[in-house]
Amino acid sequence: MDKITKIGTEFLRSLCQIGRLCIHPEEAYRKSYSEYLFAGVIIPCLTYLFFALNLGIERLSFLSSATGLKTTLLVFFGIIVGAVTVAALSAIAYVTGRVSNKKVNGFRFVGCVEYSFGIALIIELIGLITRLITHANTTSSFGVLGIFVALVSVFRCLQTITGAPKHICACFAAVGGILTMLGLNILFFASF
Amino acid sequence: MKLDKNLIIGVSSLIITVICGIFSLNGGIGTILLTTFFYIAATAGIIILYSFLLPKYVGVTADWLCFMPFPIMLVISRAILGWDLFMPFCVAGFLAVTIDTYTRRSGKNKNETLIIAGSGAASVLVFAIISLCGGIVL
Repeated sequence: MDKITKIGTEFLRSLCQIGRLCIHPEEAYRKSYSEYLFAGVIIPCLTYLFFALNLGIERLSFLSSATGLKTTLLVFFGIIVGAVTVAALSAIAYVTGRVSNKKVNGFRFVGCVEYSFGIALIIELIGLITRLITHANTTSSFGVLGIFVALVSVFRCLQTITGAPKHICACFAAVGGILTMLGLNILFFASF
Repeated sequence: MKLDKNLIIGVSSLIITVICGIFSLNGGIGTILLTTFFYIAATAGIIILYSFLLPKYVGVTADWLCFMPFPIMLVISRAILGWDLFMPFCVAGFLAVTIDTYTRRSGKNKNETLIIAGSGAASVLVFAIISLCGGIVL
């Protein structure tokens, strides 16, 4: 019984820690990479999974060619797009650091980007639930907005960690945003 | 009179957002202009409210450089990607400004997390209510 309680307490503690990192993603930069990266990987993947699922359900409702298999493929493709987006945003942070003459560990910044998607995950989940209950189109309102809210957190991390002047950060943030939009565009116009 | 660079960036960003909003199919020119006006008023209201509640930790001037990436993304999305979205860019932009304003002077305030989460949630809620009242389809 004590062992179960101990496991439960540890699990809750880890969950609280992950929740705290989602609100302060810049703290993930200072954390041990191996300790928090793998927990963080799930967050952006789940975010994009819910986004793609929302998009897939929307297609099922009005496209006659849409099938369950195609929706499943879209969801898996969404996870890949999410992983690539995280890598691209980390690369942007690395370049921003180089431009501002500050050494940024792009590998560690991956953790910051991952945890930045924490709030986005909740928004995507609310969007999906809203769609399932009300059948309203929530792909753009909750779906795209959720990803953009994650970008706001990423931009803040970029500014805090690189310490670059704000105008340089804003330019690189715009580039990061455009790359993210390209990822979403691929999902929007994916032929399956 | 010396013009503030931050203010120029803010005004330019807002003008770009409004122009893109006008061309959005989700609402007419009047609706978009009116809703955008309400967005600005709501953002200012939220910032003033938090400045009043926690004057030591909250800045009173917004840094519009945080808003700048979103009009750029909005233009790219319309011109190159062919999207017809306005709302997510507008809300995310204002959210960036609002959050930045609250956290810029953050000290060792134990309520900081609560302020960030609360302000973010309040901003989205206010914008969503205004959008629904303004007739813009979410």
